[in-house]
Amino acid sequence: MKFTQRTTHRPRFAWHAMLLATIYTCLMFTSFDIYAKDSSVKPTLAQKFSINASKTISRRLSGLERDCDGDEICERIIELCEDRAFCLELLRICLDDPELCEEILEEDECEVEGDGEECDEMRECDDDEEDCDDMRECDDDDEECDDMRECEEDEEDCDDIRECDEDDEDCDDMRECDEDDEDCDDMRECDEDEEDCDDIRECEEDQEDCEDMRECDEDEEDCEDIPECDENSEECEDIPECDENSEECEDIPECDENSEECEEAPECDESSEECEDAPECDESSEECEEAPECDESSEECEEAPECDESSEECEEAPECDENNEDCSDTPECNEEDEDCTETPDCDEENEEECEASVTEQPSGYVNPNPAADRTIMTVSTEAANDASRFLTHATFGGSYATISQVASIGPDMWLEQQFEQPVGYTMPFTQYLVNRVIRYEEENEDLNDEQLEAIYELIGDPERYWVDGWWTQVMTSPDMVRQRVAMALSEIFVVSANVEEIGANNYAMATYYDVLLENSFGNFRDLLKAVTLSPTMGFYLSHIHNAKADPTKGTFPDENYAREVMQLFSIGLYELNTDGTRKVDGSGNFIPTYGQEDIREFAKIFTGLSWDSCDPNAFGKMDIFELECEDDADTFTRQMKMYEEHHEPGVKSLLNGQVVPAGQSGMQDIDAAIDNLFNHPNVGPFIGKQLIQRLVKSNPSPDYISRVSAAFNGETGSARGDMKAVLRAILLDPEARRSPSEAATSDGRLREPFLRVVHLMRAFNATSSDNTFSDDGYEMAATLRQYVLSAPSVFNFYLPNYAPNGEIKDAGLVAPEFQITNASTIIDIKNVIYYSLETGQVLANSGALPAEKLDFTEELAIASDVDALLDRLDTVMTYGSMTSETKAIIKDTLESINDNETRVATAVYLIAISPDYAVAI
Amino acid sequence: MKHNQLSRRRFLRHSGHALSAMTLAGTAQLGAMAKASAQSNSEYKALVCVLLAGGADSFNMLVPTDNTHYQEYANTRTDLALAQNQLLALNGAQNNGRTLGLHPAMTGLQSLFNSGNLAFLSNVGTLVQPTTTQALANGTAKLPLGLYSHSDQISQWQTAVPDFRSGTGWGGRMADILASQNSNQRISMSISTSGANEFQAGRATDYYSVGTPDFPTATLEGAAQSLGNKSRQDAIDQMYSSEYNNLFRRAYRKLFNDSSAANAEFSAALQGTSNFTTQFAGDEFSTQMQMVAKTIAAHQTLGMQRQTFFVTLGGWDHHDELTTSLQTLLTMLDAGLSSLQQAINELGMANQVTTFTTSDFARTLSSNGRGSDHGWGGNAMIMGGSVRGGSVYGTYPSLALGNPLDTGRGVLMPTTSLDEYFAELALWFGVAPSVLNDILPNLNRFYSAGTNNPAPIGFMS
Repeated sequence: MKFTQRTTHRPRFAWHAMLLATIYTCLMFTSFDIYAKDSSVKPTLAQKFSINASKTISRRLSGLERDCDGDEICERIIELCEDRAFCLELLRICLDDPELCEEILEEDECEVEGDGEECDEMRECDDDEEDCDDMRECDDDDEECDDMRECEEDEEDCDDIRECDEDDEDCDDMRECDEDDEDCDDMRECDEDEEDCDDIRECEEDQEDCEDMRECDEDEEDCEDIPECDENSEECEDIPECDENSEECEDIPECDENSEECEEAPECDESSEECEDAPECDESSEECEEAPECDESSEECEEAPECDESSEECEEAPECDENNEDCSDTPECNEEDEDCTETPDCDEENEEECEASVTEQPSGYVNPNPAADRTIMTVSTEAANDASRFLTHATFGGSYATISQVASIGPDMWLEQQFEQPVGYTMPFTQYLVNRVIRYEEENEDLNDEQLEAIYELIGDPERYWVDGWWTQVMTSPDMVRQRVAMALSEIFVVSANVEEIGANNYAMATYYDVLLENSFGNFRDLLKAVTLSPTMGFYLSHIHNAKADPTKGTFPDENYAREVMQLFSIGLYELNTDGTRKVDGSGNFIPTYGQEDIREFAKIFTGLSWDSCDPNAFGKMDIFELECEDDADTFTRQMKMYEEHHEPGVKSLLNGQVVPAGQSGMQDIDAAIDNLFNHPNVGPFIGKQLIQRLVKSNPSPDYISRVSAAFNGETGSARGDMKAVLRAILLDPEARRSPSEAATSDGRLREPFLRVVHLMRAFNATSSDNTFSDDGYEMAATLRQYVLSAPSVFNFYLPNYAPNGEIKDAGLVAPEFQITNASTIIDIKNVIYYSLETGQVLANSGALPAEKLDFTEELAIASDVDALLDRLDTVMTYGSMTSETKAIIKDTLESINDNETRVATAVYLIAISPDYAVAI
Repeated sequence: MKHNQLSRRRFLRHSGHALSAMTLAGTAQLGAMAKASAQSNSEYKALVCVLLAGGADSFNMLVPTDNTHYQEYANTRTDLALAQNQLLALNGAQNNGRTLGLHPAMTGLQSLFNSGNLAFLSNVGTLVQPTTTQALANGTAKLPLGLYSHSDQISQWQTAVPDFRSGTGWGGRMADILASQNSNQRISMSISTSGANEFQAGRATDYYSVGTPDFPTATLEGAAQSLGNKSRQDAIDQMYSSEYNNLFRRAYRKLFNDSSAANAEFSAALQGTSNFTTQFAGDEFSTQMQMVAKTIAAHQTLGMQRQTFFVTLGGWDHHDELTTSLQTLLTMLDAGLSSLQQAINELGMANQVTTFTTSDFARTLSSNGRGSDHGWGGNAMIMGGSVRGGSVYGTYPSLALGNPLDTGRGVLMPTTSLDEYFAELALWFGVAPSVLNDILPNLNRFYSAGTNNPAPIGFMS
């Protein structure tokens, strides 16, 4: 990890806290203003996603003085913060590197005073300095303007300047930059052979990769603010700024076509086939549609020649011309200018410091999961539909590439391969983010709570890093089946982030989910015990610190966990047959599995558990911050331990006539109780049916349940409770595998609303520049009424036997997911989908981590053929189960759309909101 | 520890805040002076639950004004204490030997109290059973889960279940029993202006989430977007009029169509109401209040005999900046509640609508130097024409540190359980005494419901 120690030996700036406060205030106001300007406009869901957090903060901070009262730095901040993305980056720089922060903020001063000493170290020239002459924006009557990068398109000289290759001397000063972008001066085009490049601070002359590091596609928010990277820096790996090996590089605009590194993103001319996505484009190049280098005849150029016209950021960032005053602040340096050489940027003499001044990149986290294999195998539609259906059951879903790969291997074989995948734990990324925020806190002790809190808003909500850990694994971990099964288990063994003592504790939540992941392919007994001993569960169902009876006080053990472990986690309320139907007694009544007396006995068993802490008095301390051991912040990562003195002594009776003898240790008691429950004949049908409901269908036939029970009971050759055997039985059962055309009208289930969102992201290859994913989830949880580990109670989001009024109830069927589907949510989810497709972004990611983007490359490739597109989407989204009527309606709509992107987005939207997709049959 | 404290505050912003962004766009209806003409159904009743999310410092809302007890208050609250001469006088507000007054921002509520339309209930809170501070100290008290914790306390004030984490709220449980009285079964009797909540989660009923007067219901975004010669809406309409064989798809299709119809019906009903003379402020809370008033005005059109409303005003977790923030929020609360009552009066329905406040807890009486921390029992308000207003109910506690109710730092053990508070409201709302314990399962530890028994507290007439 490359968090430098530089702040320890650099001076702390007296104004640092004030400065940060100003930045975040700016940030809040700028984002708030977008919304506040026009209150007559109904805020869209997308807007709500983006501004929700800021809005509450800005209201809280409304008392803070925004007026700078003439303070130049303050004014400078406000100016810089007009660009929200840059403001965010500025904050990050100022947190990480106060000195660089100061340099940035004092640039203007330097320009005003001209010969000030501070200016010597600034990379920007003062415009009074001769050396600077060549470097800045010039008037069009200035001869030296020939060399200038920015040109008005009606200038003749421009023709030669715009596109140049490395032989053209004039080229060295050319670059593409927009004047609002501070970092622009760093981003000049430079070929490494060129002498003139020597002094360009962002580049070392011998750094081959340098040229790839400067230009950024301007519609990538993160990009514009990431000036500092050299190729030796590990942290640079993840930036959107590309190197040639990076898939994200498609959009690199500036490249010399002779440069080897440029292979994937050459400076385009019309003869270059590789030019497809390169925004720097010759105007005659047809591929340049989106972001051509403009000339006046190009219609697309109207607003912002350097910009993709769909990019909001670009609107305010025109190419400079001489009439544009804003352009005067973007000077350049050339090699004669000595002052320009002492820059904060790196050269090889300066490697150490250089390393230190490297700005931390979006996450700085290197996700060990590989990028998704996007290879598409050639398989039949039938096989693809079959695999897609299997993936809908067994995973969160996949793109067509994944589907085709599974189809080519076959679901059975692929499932066995999945069983061998290593566990994709959520903790590592969570831990990384926790460490980072701790570092921020330590380095910024002079900030008050509110200032820190505002910063948290920007670097990600520190209570929700476990969510980022979850998303990142769900989106990238190769153990797709395990990730999905753990989600299903989390809806049986429910804990909820709604209880803040655990929900706001990353260790508690990430560890709990990891326990589920770890045991998803193990044995149910181990799972049940691990859940029982989880301090997160202990907190949620209050059996942590559960003490033995105290006759003098008249207290008894807490019965909460004793009840739920039986009712919900193992055996259920009534004796079951192996096919899941309830047994009846001689009078035709259902037979309860346990009574109140049993609950009291089990309550005794679950006494004496508390933190695994070195604090000998840990028992009873609810708040981990009260524990006396300093490093106990991660206590939630360890199983609870037994405090014998608080454990109920004596004989206890279990179910089915078993007893635990007196004199055993507390943990022996727990083991005996877990065994007692685990061996109860109800577990197979009770847990098996619920897993079928989560993964496959709401109303499994008794035969299907029987087969799963048999697998649980060890009748398929595995040990009792073997989860792999259970999952094979569930996922490969003929009732699960039969095609939609063979399905009964009562088959299927309503997709869980939250999983619809996850599926969209996976089906359409949501990617982010650093392969991490981030969401605070509050908005989605409120909108969808579902989110990972966020059920309203231990009874999950819905009951397994919920039946909505109408045909389903009348037919004696259940449809649990309908319980959270009402007049609001049934529309809200469609709007979530709409905005996800409009923006390409689904998650309300924090400012700290790069946003994800949906990627429709696979669909766009076939979009000109409506039938092919629809068949493909039918496979990916509804595995061939779309009705012909729905298909015809959508086809009719798509045929009137000529633009392929709109066509794909519309097709995906209409399918995603259709009953065909909402219900997986 | 810093981080831990932050956690608690951060949570609040979100927990009370669901979907409320919708309401920002609302603007007060001005100008139209036509008297609202709702033909009131004399049997109609509405309960408006106002949740002050975050734990309102209600011992700075209702404050002793007589010298002795003001001094006790000032000694305990130190830098948080309001100036004695700024407190608003309440006519006849005597309780437990104290004369009580209001925070200076609550001028509208002062008038409502003095005109008999507002009552206070003092030191009410979550309790599993009657207990004492001694029992608390020696560990024998049965206490609510997660006492002093936002998440559990804000939940228990909605579920009225203090000893386990319930999936249903007492408003939802009332709706389970009462919803059948409404002729309209297409729209829930539980209306939320603040989105998802626990109060209105029933076993068989659910809340209906509404937006602002300008955008009353959820609508499909971008549906009108033109695509070639069609719009998304065209395609959606066609898909949702298709026939499906699969029962789940049929059910989903029907639910969507029913929902769309319900939303259209609701919007049209609201559109059909006359504008109020009453002017509502443009902030989020008053916009919600306006939405409540308009919905009540439309009750006849909507076919509603009983309705509950859930409204949240968040931001009360004043660990710091208490004095200024409280001023801001109470001004907002005062304006919103006053406007609501005024609009209901316009409708001539004052006796049929009762508004009450809830909050996670009150706060420590002692200061942390900038604000106050999480407490327990606090003061609630009940507003409406059926309220026996002008009085303070319950027992206004001693504010001296170390008094018998002080569990530490001026965290006061409640002397009235929220079960009793809610029972009185439920009885007024029409819940039969025989089923009161189904609505409030913890009530029987404090009050015995019976046909001839007097009301638990007596603040409703």
